[in-house]
Amino acid sequence: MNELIDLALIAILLFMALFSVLSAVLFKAIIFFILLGLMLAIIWIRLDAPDIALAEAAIGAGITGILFLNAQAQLPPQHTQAYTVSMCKQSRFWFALIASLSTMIVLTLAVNQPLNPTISINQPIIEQLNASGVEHPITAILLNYRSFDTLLEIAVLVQVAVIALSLRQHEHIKIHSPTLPNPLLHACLTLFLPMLFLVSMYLLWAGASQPGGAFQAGSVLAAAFILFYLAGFNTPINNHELYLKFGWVFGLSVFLMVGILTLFTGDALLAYPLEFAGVSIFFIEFAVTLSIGWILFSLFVLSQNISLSNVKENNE
Amino acid sequence: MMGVAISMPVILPLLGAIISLLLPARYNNRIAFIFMLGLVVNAAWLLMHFSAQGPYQQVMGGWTLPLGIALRIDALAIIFSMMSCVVASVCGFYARFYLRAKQLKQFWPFFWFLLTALNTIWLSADLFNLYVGLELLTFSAVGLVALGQNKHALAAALRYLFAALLGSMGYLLGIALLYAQFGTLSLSQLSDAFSLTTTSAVALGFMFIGLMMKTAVFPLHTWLPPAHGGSLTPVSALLSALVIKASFYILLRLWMALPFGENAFVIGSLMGTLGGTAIIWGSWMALNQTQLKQIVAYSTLAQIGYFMLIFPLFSYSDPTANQYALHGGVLMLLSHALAKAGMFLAAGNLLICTNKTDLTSLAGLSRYRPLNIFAFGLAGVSIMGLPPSGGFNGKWLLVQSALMQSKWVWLIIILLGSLLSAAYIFKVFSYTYLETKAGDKFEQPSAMLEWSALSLSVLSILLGFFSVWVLDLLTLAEMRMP
Repeated sequence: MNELIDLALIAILLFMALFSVLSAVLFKAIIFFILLGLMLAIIWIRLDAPDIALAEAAIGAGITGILFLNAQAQLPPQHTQAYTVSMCKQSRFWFALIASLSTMIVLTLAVNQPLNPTISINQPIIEQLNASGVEHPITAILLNYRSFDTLLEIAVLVQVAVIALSLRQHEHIKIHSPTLPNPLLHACLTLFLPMLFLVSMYLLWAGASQPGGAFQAGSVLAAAFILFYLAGFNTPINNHELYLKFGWVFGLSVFLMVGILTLFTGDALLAYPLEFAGVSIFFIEFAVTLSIGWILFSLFVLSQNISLSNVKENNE
Repeated sequence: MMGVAISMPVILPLLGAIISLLLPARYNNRIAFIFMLGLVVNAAWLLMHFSAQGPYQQVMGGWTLPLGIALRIDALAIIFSMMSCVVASVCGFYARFYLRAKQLKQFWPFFWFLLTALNTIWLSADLFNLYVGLELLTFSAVGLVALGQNKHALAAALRYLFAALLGSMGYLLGIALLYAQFGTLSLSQLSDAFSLTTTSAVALGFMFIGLMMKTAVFPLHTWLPPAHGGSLTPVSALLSALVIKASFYILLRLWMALPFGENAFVIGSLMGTLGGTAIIWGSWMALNQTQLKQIVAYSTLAQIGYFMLIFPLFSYSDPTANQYALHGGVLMLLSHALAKAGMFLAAGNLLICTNKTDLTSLAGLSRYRPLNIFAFGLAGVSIMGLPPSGGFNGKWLLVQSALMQSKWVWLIIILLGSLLSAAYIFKVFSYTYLETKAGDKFEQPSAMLEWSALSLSVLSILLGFFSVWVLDLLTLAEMRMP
C-alpha cells in the first residue's frame, strides 16, 4: 500500500514537472510549478523530513510562485501568448531532453548501489545534542554544528536583495502602485495578520525542539508583509532605501556580532559557551527570521513595476 | 590568536559588506582602504605562521570532525588568498577612480561579498561549505556584471546566472551522493574514506562537470565572453582574474585529495583534452575578434586550458614530474590572475581614450598613451609566456613535466597555444601603431587608472623573478600522494 502511494506521488510529481516545462502558456506553467512545489512538500513529509517540507511549501511553492506570477503580470502582452514555434523543431529542446534523460539514468545507477556510509555521522549528532543548546537535531546542525554555513547563506540572501535593488535603480517606468481599497479585504486582513504573525513566531519558537525554524518563520512573515502591501497599506518604511537595507542586514549583523564575540571569548568562530548556547541561538534565529521575512518581501516589492521614488510620489 | 587570524579573511569582508550597505557612500573608500590593509596584514601573518609551523586546521564552532566545518591554512590556501588580496586591492582602487559615484555605491557591497566568498573557498576544507562559498561568489559576480546596466550587460548577467546555477546544481548533486556513500563532508576525512565505486564515480562526474561549467572550460564556456567582455572594466578584471579561479581551485583540491589510483590517467587525459581544445579554440577565437575586450576575454578561455593541463600531467606516475606539473600550474594561475587583471585594466584605459570598442579606433594610441600600451604589453608578455615573466616559468615547468613523462601531445599544444597568443597580442599592438589621417582626438584617463593597470602588469613580470619564493611554499610533502 505504501509503495503504491509513493509511486502515485512520484508519477504526479513527474507529470507536474512535464506540464510546467512543456506548457505553451506561461500562466499555466507557473501554476503547475506551484503545484510541483506542493507535491514536493508532500513527498518530503513521506520521507520523514518535515523541516524541508515546511520550507519547500513556504519558499519553493509560496514565495517563488508569487514572484513568478508577479513577473508574468509585468511582461509585455506578446510574451504571455502561447508559443508559435513548435518546441520539437528547436535543437535545444532535444539537447535538454537527452541531457535530462541521461542524468536520470546515471542517477538511478548511482542510487541503486547499496549505501552504507563509512563514517557514521548520526551518532555524534545525537550524542552532542546536549551540548548544542537546542533539542531538535536539524536546528542544532543549522545553527550550531554548521552555523558557519548558515551565516554565509544569510549573506547570500542579503546579496540577492541587493542585486534586486541595483537592477531597479536605472528604470524609469512609471506605473501606479496597484492597490485594492476593498473593505472586505481589510476586514479579513485584521483577522489574518495577527494569526500569520503568531504562526511565524510559533514556527520560530518551535524550532528549538521540533520542526520549524528561522527560514520557515521568515517566509510566513514575508507572506504577512506581502498581504499587508497588496491590501494597499503603503507604509513609508518600504519606500526608503535605508530602511530596506537596514532590515536586510539586521539578521546578518546580529549573527556576525555573535560570531565575533565568541571568537574573542572562545577559541573559534561561533563556538558558543555551553550555558549561553540556547540563548545565542534563539537571538540569532529571531533576528534572522525578521531579516528573511523582510528580504523576501523586498524581493516582491522591488519586482513591482514602480520605482522607489514613484511610490513616494503616490503617497504624497 | 590563530583562531582569530584564520577567521579574519571571512569576517572582515563580511563586515565590510554590512558597513558599505549602511553607511553613507562617502565613507566607502576609507573603509575599503582600512579593511583591505587589514586583510593584507592578516594574510602576511598567516604566511609567517605557516612558514614557521606548517599547515594548520581549525573546526568552526569548536566541534570536531565530521560535525563541524574545518578551515585550514596550507600552501595553496595562503598563495591564493595573497593573490586575491593583491588583485582585489588594485581592482578596488581602480574602480574608485573609474566608476561613477552611483555605480561605485553599488559596487562596494558586491566587492566585499565577492571577497568573503573567495576567502571562504580558499580556506574551507568542507565540501558543502565550498558550495555555499560558490553560491555567494556566483551572486556577487552576477550582481557585478549587471552593474553595466545596458541591455547587453543584463543579458550577459542572466546567461551567466543560468550557467553558474546549473554548475552549482551539478556540484550539489555530487556532494549529496558522496555524503550518502561516505557519511562525511569534510575533505580530509573523505580523502581517507574514498574509494571509486559506481556511486562515487557518478558523484564526481556531476561535481567535475559542474565545476568545469563554472570555470568555463571548453565546451562549457559560451557564457564567459559576453559576461567578461561586456561588463565594466574593474568587474571584468575581477571576474577573469579571480572568480573563475575559485571553481578551478575546488577542482584542483579534489584532484589532489582523492585517490583515483589507476583511473587517474584516463580522467586526467580526458580533462587535458578539453584543456588542449580550449587553448587552441580560445586563442583562435581571440585572434578573430574585432573588439578589444573580447580579445582579452577569449584569451582567458585559452588560459583556462593551460590550467586544465595540470590534470593529465599530475597523474601519479613520477613524483618529480607531478611536482613540476603542480608548480607550473600554480604559477600559471598566479601569473594569469595578475596579468589578466592588468590587461583588462589597461584595455579599459584604452577604451576610455578612444570611446569606441573596436580595434581600428586604437590607431595612433601608442604615441599618445605609451604608458598604457606598455602596461598592456607587459601583461601580454606574461600571457604569451615570454621570459622573464611568471607565465614563462609556469609554461616552462609544465613543458618540463610533459617532457619527463614523454607526453608529447601536451608539449605541442602548449607551444602552439603560445604562438597563437603571441599572434593575438601583437595584433592589438599593430593597430596601436597605425597612423590615421584624421586628427587624433583622444580622451585622457586619470593617471591613477594607468598606474594601477601598470602595477599589476609589473607584478606579473616580477613573479618571474620571485617564482622560487612561491614554489618553496608548495612542497608535495604536505599534499596527499597515492
